[in-house]
Amino acid sequence: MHWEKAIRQLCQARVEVLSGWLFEENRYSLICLILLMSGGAVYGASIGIWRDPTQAFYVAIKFPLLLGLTALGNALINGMLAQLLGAQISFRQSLLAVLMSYALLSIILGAFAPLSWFLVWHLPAMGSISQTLGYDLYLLINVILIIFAGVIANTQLYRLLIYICQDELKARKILIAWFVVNLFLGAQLSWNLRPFFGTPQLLVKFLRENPFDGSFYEAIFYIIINRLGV
Amino acid sequence: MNDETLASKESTEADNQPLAQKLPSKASVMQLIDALLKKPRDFFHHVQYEDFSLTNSLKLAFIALIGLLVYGVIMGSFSGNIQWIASPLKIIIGTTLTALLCYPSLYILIALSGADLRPGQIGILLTSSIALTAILLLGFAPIAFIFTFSIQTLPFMGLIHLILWLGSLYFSLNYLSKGLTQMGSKDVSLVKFWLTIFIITLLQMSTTLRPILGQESYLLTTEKKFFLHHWIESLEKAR
Repeated sequence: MHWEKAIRQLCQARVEVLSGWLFEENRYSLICLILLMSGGAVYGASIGIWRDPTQAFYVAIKFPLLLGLTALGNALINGMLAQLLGAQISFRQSLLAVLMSYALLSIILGAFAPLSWFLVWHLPAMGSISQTLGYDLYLLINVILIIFAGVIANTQLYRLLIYICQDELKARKILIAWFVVNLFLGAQLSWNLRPFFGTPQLLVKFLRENPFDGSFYEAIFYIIINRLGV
Repeated sequence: MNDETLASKESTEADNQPLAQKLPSKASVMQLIDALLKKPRDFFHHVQYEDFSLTNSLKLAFIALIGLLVYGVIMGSFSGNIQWIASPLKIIIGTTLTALLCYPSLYILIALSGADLRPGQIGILLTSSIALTAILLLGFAPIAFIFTFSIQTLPFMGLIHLILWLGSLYFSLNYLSKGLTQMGSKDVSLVKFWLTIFIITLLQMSTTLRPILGQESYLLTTEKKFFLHHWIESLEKAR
């Protein structure tokens, strides 16, 4: 397989080409997985580098792991939802469609990693007086970048779903259902695998103490309760 | 058939037609400059059909190098001394680094916009676009030279150079955008998004490699500064 051609085909998202991928046995699943891992690792490193080079190394492992685990963890339910909502595709094909979307997300983020590194170079460094400003700015810009890549990846996935279902309404329902379950599990996994950006006040670690204590949703709940003063 | 369809059909036919005058595989520097300025469509045709030799690509890089070098020397002449050498070097290094930093995102955004171009073709397009910027800067060099000996304050000189750079970039990036459209880009907004990123990175690079125009006790600094912040500070210093 020509890797560069695979990247181009994923980006161009010509549905007649990508739907062909769905019927190739396992070959394209491996390609998507490798693209997801490599793109995610490059971008992950650029996320962690502001905090510390060790953090960059950790996030280069954790970021692709987060995407891969989210796709695999939801493989079964995504396949069921797709069939339930009217797409004539197998579990393997629905997993591959999600992997394609995540691979595209990783490729886009990976392509912007050099610019992200350049940005880190100019932000107030860790340990400087204005480190909080640096941290907040870096967080904001990366969130914008992830949203940008996420919107593109989901738009391409939507086009593919329309082609598979031959019905815009069905495709939209499947996309929303997948988005919701992926976000649901992804948010929790990102909580378990934290830290990614690395809070300046905390030590650099691969995982926080007791990473499986509590959940993302509990944390949000308690933040809201504390803010409201209940 | 309406006008738009007719125009589009004519444009496609023109793109597919064989070139009246083919660019030689070992074109002279003047032939390449001529193609960039007068026959960009022919130039894009060569790139699109992978009919652009490595020798010509290297010559394009050479044109860019010479153009930036000459303009850099003129920039350096404002402060003199070590800046005669430091400015052209920084201009060349800064532009090259910016192009390298932005290249991966250009490749992905071009693919997302629907064009079917290989990394090598995109590399040639980007190099030719920088070469065009350098040629235009070379054209602006006499103007910059005259201002260099008239203007006394650093911020005003900086403003003149900024205007000349932006003017050159406007034409060269417009050329790049047109080329991508001719080669199959359907979503111009993605290309425009990249052009914005490129300009911002270039402006930031000029601050990273400071001082380029003025003269300080140091040749390079590790102090981090956003380019707008640097400009405002320079203005305040001059007052």
